Amino acid sequence: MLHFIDSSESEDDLDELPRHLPPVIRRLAPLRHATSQYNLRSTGSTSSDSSTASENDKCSDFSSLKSRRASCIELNKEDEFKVMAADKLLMAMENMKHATSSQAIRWRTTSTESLPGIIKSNRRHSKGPLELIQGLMAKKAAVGRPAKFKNLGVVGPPTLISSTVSLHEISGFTHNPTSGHQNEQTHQKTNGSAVHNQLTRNIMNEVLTKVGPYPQIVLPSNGFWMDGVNQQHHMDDQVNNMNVNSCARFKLETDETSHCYRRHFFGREHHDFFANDPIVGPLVLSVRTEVISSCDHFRIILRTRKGTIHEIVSATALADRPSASRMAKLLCEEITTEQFSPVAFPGGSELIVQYDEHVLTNTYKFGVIYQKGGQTTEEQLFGNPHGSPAFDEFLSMIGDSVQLNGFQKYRGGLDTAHNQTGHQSVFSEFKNREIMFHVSTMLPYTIGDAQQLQRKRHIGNDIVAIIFQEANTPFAPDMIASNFLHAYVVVQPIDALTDRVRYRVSVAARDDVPFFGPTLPTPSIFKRGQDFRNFLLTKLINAENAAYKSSKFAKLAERTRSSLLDGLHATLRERAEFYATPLLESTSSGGESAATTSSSSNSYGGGILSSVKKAFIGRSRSVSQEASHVPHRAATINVTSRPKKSISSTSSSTSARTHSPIRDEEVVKPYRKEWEISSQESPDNEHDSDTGMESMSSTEMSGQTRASSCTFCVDDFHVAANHQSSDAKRLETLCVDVTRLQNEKHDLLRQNVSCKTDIKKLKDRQSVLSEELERANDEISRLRRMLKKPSNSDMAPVHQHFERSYSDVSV
Amino acid sequence: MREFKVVVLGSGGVGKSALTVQFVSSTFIEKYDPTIEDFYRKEIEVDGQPSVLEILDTAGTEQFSSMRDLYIKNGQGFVVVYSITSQQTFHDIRNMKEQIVRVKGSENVPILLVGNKCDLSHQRQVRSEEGLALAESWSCPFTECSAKNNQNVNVTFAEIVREMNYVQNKSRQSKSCCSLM
Repeated sequence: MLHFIDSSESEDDLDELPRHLPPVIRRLAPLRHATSQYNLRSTGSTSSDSSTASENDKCSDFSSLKSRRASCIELNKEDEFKVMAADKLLMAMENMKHATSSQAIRWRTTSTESLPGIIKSNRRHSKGPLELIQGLMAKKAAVGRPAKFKNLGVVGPPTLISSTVSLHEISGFTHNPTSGHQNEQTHQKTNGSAVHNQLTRNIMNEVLTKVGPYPQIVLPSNGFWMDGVNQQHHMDDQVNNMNVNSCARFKLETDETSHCYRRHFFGREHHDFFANDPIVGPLVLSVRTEVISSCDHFRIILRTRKGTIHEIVSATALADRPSASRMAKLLCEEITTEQFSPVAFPGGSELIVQYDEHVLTNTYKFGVIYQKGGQTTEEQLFGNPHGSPAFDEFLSMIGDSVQLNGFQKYRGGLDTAHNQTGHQSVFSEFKNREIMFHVSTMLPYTIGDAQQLQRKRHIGNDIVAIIFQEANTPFAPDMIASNFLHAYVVVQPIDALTDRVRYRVSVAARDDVPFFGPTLPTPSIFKRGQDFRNFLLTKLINAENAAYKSSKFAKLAERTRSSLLDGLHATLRERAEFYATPLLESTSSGGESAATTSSSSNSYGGGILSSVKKAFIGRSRSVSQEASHVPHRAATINVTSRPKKSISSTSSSTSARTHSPIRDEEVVKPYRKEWEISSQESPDNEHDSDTGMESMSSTEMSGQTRASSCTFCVDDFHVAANHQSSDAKRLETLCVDVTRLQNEKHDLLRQNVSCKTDIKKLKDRQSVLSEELERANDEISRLRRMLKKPSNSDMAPVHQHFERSYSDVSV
Repeated sequence: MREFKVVVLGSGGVGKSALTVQFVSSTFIEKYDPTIEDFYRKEIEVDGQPSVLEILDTAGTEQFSSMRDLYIKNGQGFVVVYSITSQQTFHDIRNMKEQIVRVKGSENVPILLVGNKCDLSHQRQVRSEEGLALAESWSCPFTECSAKNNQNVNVTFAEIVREMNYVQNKSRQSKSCCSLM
């Protein structure tokens, strides 16, 4: 049963007709519809009582928008299952033949895995029907996991089953039990659309028999929510209560996660890892060290099949063990693997940024449909051969009229070579985005075609459409049959073609489309001009982005994302294996370094360990402890020494020269640290050993010949004797001084780098704070508008509550 | 029983869903309801050999390029549909073969070119010769059909099965030649 919000309703009517909603809680409408939808379905449900009670509680809970969304998803799933249950009863024997097909099961199991978790949990509630089916099937193969039943039972896809299948259509199954399933399913699809369309038409015709003014939107009994309802009260105020939003700034609601890698990691110092977890699946991790507010932090991006997570974690959260697996677990607790491989080959960053940005688009296409007064069917809407001067006035505001032949920018599927889709269209560029409009009256008109296929094949494949109403007349969002169209912005002119032209705006969308901004003011009437254009284009773009979160598109997006992540992981692994072999073959030390790095979960520690092994094999434990104690300093040292090694490894002729200073540097630093440690412990044996090393270092620094050095190393007596001499003592002193000066130099260099990094981070923080300030200002202006709204004292708490809910969603 | 994954591609409004539903359930859908993605399954016997077709009916819009690549990657045979009543739908599919070959990484891909709505002869915009010429350039079979009148519909799907069998056999022979060498 369809109903609408009548402009003439009053509180007395509310008591008699609970389906009519008072204006102050108009946003409650979609939630009520959800409940109604569930009640209708529960009548024919075969679920257990506990399941029914549980879902009923969810439906009756209006505490949050998320609950409504979950409820809608569950309802859809419930409905799918009922049809599948009927299908199983009819096709039981035929499906048995498919049980042995492992390939089919694998194919559909993959599809099943991509279902959202909430649907999986819902499947457990459907045990009753499964038990019924098991009772009917005597063969052993009938017994299996619910997923397997789903695979066996699905001959057609869930998307064939309309999300608003009504009890009437369920009855249709009962009346034709002997019909083939596929025939029944197809018949249902066609019949369902016709039934709903007829009901909507009846309601709208009934509305039109009354005296105006008419509501802009008439909602069907289920499946859609709407915003911006006007009543007679506001009609009286329309002349005096103009709402000009010249001070407001409309915000595009975009997902920032897709931009994070290019913005913070790409081209900068960072580390990427890949792994394959037995539970979560392929993983790609990016880590970067940043100093924020004078404290060390890790910026982490973790990509899984379920989605991408971006967080900034304080270094203290990971203590002194910042391993890749621990960082990943911070963002996703279900991860169990410890094996993370570094992305240490050229081109890895390009592959990762390409994956992250696969969802981004700067092109949009929106339908624009012209509706005359009294038109109640899509055939009438698409059958309007021409528009009107008022419509042209509106079109000239939202974009520019362009010649399609030879058009070079985004064409949105229109023909730019042969004039097959009309000669002109309306195009707009807005905030670095290109928008092509599919205007119904500018697409080809075919005489004798009731459906006007040449028009609907473009507009019907849009996700968002504008309905321009030439006169005061109702529009119902289910008038147009399309799996694609998910949101409508309905625009109705007031005093068109005059200096006082204004537009009344309402919005309707499918139940599973989340709320999208900017919020419609009350009354939702706009003056023609740049401000209204900005509002409208922002609303359209946000509508499309919101529609992508509805169940149909979200399912497709998740499957696409999973497949692309599998591909990215496979490519990274192949390249890692490809580049690993030459390194191992070229130098043994290089191979050792690579092995150390890959086996260690801490890439910084790996570098240090490799350096230490080269100089002092026997003292690796001590240095490792120190590296753990000061991870940030270790990272710096590691980075400093790495380029020199690269130079050394790539050029054999320069290796002798460049290797010597590297060795000196490495010898000096660990030596000093070791000296400090041994001083604390004061072991006599170790002291003697350090003395020997000191002597060797001193010899090298003095520039004596290599042969002499070898002689000193071999002959312990001579070393000891040399130590006793006065010259040795003086050299020792000079050596200590040189070492101290070098350390001071390195410290100063590190401080310089650190200061520069801090300056950069402060600038970034400043821009972030500016953005937050802007959002806060938007919030303040929105709250100020809320305070100005007239509200019924009895309904105020509920009203405010829903305002907060929508605010949370949009933020 | 052998299974084949068939993907139906083409511009919006050419009759991909009508063609598929006519084949699967012998009914014609008059109402145009743009498809996002539908999945069907049906048994068919071709040349005395039974097979199961898993048919993926796709969206006609180019909005999801990543998703289309995924369809092509996972599909085995491709039915490329245009409408003889719309020159643009014929132009829209000109690059389809190139895209399929790029994603598959092979020239040997089972493709069938289909011109639908041949019952609307009075509205014809694409001559049969044009369709045949494109099919020859693609080295693939060509047929015209009418989902409305159930004309050549079963033949269409039988032909894509033959094409998939043919390509598989051809691939097997190539491997045999390699082993001989």
